[in-house]
Amino acid sequence: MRRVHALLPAVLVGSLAAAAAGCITLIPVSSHVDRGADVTRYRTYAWGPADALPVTDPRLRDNPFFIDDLHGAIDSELQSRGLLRATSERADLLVHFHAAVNERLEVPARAERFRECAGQDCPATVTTFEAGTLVIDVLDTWSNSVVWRGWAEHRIEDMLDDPQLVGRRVRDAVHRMMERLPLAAEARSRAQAPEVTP
Amino acid sequence: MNPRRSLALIGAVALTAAIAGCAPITVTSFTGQDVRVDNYRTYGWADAVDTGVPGDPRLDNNPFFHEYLRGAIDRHLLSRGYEPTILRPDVYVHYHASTRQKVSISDQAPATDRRRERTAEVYDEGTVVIDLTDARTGALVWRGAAESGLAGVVNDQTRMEEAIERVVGRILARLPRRS
Repeated sequence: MRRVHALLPAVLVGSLAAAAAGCITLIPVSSHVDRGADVTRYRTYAWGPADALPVTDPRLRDNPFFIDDLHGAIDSELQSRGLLRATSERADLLVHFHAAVNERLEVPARAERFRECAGQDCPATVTTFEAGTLVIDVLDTWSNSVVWRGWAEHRIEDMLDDPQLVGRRVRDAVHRMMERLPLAAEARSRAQAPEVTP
Repeated sequence: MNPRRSLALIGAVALTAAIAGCAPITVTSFTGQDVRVDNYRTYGWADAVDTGVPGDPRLDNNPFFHEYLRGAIDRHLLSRGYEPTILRPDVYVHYHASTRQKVSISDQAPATDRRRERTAEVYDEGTVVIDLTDARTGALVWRGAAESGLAGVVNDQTRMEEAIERVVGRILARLPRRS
């Protein structure tokens, strides 16, 4: 126990240093769920028909890397959680996504503001940034109703010209979102259980 | 610690708490001229409900948000004495929801002894508007609206539902009660 306590500061310092260096980006994610849905019965999924504008920003919509990364990440995460991609039969779930980019306001860090007004009164400062929101909807095929919506939000201006960074952030965001998918434990145990045939 | 700094810190913490959890709700309402809203007895939902929520992709066409909002409106209309019907209602109910960012500038507060600092806070604010229109003429007979801070609300489904319940309750508390 004492050793754990001794290691804790080192781990914290290491994490902070890594985060500051850009190695770790904690993308805020969250989700809403249909609390009445029986999630244990879902086994298969398929891609649902795209909405009119699933990706609203042309820099993302016309970026094949982003779309490929996103499809790949969602497929990989759902399959690792025991869901099978439907081939010929009707799927239990339909999946589709939306990606939006909005201009948001923020207050610069205090140290940054103080640099701007060294030695004089500091006015209030507000700047803008571009925030990307990735939304994944999972629908019950039979009722055609959404049973789960997950989303991730992140500033995007530092990654649009770096396909590898976009790919890493997309995979990280989808992974963290899918950790909140309530069918995960059920589907995983089903996937790991031996198939019993009468 | 410098007492002025302590005061500024306490102020900042209080402001953050206010924005995060106990954000005030600003409610407004008006009634059409020469209209006695409590003369209307039954209500129905307008056919076309706009499920878009400008300003927040998380809520845009989000069925969990809209179903809870609609349910809360039903509950509070019932509690005010209005009866739901699908057959020739007296009034139709519509609602609109939107969000936007707002900036709050604090009064100049001494940050150090040598210079003054004016601080800004950026926060998300949600607006819900509930309209009742005369089913026969289409005229707006009553409108209630509320604005409230959204910090930490949308990302927590339970908190979102509690906030909807509170906001709808405050709006419809202004609707004349049917005896």
